[in-house]
Amino acid sequence: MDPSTVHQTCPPYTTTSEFEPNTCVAVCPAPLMSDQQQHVLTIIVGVEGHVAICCTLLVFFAYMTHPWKASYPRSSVAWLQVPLFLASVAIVIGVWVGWEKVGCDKCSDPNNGYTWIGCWFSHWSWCWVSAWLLFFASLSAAVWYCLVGVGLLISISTVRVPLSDRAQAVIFHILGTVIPFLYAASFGLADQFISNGYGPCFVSSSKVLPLSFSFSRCLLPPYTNNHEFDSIIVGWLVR
Amino acid sequence: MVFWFPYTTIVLIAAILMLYVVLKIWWLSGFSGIYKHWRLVAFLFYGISAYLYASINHWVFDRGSRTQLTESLTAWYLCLATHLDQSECYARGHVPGGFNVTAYIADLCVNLSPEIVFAVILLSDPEIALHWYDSFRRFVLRQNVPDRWASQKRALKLSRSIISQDSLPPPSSESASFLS
Repeated sequence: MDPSTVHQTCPPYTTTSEFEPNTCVAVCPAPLMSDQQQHVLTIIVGVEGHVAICCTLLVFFAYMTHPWKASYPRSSVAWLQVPLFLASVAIVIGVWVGWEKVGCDKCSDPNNGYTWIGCWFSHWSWCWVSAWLLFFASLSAAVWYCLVGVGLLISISTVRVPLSDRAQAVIFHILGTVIPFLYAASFGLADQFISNGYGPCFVSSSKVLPLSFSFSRCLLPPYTNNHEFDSIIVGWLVR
Repeated sequence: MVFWFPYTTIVLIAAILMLYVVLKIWWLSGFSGIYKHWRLVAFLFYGISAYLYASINHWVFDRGSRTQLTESLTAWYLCLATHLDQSECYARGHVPGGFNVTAYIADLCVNLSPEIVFAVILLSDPEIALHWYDSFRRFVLRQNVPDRWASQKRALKLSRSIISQDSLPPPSSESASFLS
């Protein structure tokens, strides 16, 4: 018999793996939600996400065109809207292109056979893009929110920072945008973003690679070894 | 951990800062000050609540439920693989005891809500509407509209020049104009 005609049979809700021969992997997206639940998810995220995107753009425009609020430190509230906008986009991408496209592309599989960012260079990955955006934007939003607090504190206290407003604003941007960008980029280059089998993709520590290790060790020495957001799909390999 | 540890730390720092700001306003001007700066307090309160919810949801519920979810899914796949009569293993989309869809969607809703609530709070400030109204009159109707914030700009400029010359403390009125 011609070996090429031998087809592997996989159990229900599993399929042959593209990357490892003679193995079966769970179908994607995972059947965690019924079709009706997926519709509800799409409608809620679609409506709320688009309203959120419009709100962030409106607030940014309102503050940046205002003669009084566009100046530091009041403008911190406007700059906070930028990561909030990106985070909303990252979540809404699933509605735009479909949850299946986001959660089930090649690069969302942790065993995709690529190292570093190679998969993303070889295949456009909505999973990678949305996960990276969500990672960066959420972290940046938290820092900017903190910086709004710092701005308020500077405003109401009698202690003055011995720097010009421009210098202070630049420091705010470095802290709020540049550092979270570099931090997120280090994990993005290491291709650590995976699908949970549903919804938006997110970071996985199970794919820790040297760059992110070396970078994150500078910032978070004791914590990078721990597993977080491990791929659920990895555990479902049925051999 | 690479995300949630720094995120939670930053949110906790923000919570402490915001609490200090609100307490300081209360200390300086009492409840009337809180009432006067309700937008600021609402902005701080909602932002912190939403961000803390995301953190607490991850650390308390999400991490714990992941193991249970993986186990129930594994059991479900094994059931499908080993039973010829697969009706025993429930219909597609129903993993027994696996996934709390309501909690998951609620989490996404909370994650998207700060943008909307912030916009409602910030854009309810009459200064924004007044500026748009002035701009409409100035650029569309070509009317001669006086600068509403000229005196504030002058005061700020003056206070900065005084600070740079004498290192004197600034006027305390700045907090009132931060968000309101």
